[in-house]
Amino acid sequence: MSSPCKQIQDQMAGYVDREIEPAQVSAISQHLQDCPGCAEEAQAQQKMKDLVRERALRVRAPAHVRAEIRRRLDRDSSGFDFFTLMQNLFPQRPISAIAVIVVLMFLSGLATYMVFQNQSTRNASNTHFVAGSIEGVIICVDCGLLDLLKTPFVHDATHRLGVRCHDGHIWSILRSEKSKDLSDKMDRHVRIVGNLFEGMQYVEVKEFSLI
Amino acid sequence: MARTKPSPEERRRKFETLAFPHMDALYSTALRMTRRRHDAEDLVQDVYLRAYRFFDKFEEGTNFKAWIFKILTNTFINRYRKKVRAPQQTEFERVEYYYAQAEKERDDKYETRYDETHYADLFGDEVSAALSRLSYDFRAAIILCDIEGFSYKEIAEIIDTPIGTVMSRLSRARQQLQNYLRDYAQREGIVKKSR
Repeated sequence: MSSPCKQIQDQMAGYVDREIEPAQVSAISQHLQDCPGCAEEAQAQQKMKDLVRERALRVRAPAHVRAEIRRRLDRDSSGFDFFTLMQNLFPQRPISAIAVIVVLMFLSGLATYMVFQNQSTRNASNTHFVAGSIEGVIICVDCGLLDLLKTPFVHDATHRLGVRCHDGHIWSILRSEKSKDLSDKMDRHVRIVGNLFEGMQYVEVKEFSLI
Repeated sequence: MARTKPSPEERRRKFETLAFPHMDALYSTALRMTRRRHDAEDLVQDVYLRAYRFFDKFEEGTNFKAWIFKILTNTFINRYRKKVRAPQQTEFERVEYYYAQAEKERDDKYETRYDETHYADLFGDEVSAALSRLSYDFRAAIILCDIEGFSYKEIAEIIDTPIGTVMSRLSRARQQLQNYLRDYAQREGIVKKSR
């Protein structure tokens, strides 16, 4: 196949669908008169389009789907629906997921209580930080949130990074010159040394190393 | 823009008026994409709930059908993305790959084919067979263009690719369709094998 033919074959759909510029249409029409191979291809493209269009049947959405959609919209209108969220997040066993979350909430409550007890002796505030280190996996906090909210998304550079520690805590990483170097370390295990803002679960990176 | 927020009832009514007429089209497309009735039902329900939650993001006066079909394709991709680790591996080709793998695993495991009767209901026999052999991105292009009648610009918007890609995908998809149909016709003895 010569190269003008190759180029035209890629535009064949556009020609058949009349989705290219009129000038291109007439250029291709001209070519088709001189090239039996491409003319045949154009006919075949048209035939496939017609065939799919003729044979495609539209099925009706089943009545129970329609009813289920109405029911979900009703529920959604009436506010936040914890069970549906759980069902979406854990389609296999929403009930046990809820049980797990209740336990986690209890534990985190306990942890918070302990932290506050601890902090009350140290004049805690949101700007209070301690120098320290954490270990965990680099994740994208925003992608995680968007996925949880079931929003269509694409990861991009504006997203905040975080560290998921082995104890399950997620620390957001404060943007800095140093934190930029972490953006290509997604999913890697790292040890971060820096300032930990415990009240806000933020970490300011001083240095880090892969582990 | 200063606009009074509509009441919840008004919002709901408006949503239903715009969204419900597309239910059959969305369901048919979901069935053509997932090839399983159960998955298609789930997918459509999910799409409506998401569309409703993000209804405020829809710009009035723009193409609602394209908007809700974009949600359909995104939801479809997100479902199969869970198998995909890194965020950059989200193009259709990858998704199709994982989807095909998952499908293979499932078929191997339970030794069941996809819900063939229902999928075949959507087309005449051989067209449905040929279409189901196309990769997902090619199939999506054909469905959106030839069945749902979207323009290239709308398709580009829906599946998030340049218009040129839409055009080359459609060209190749139709070429493949023709080859598959030729195979079929030869097997069935409708046309003689060319030597």
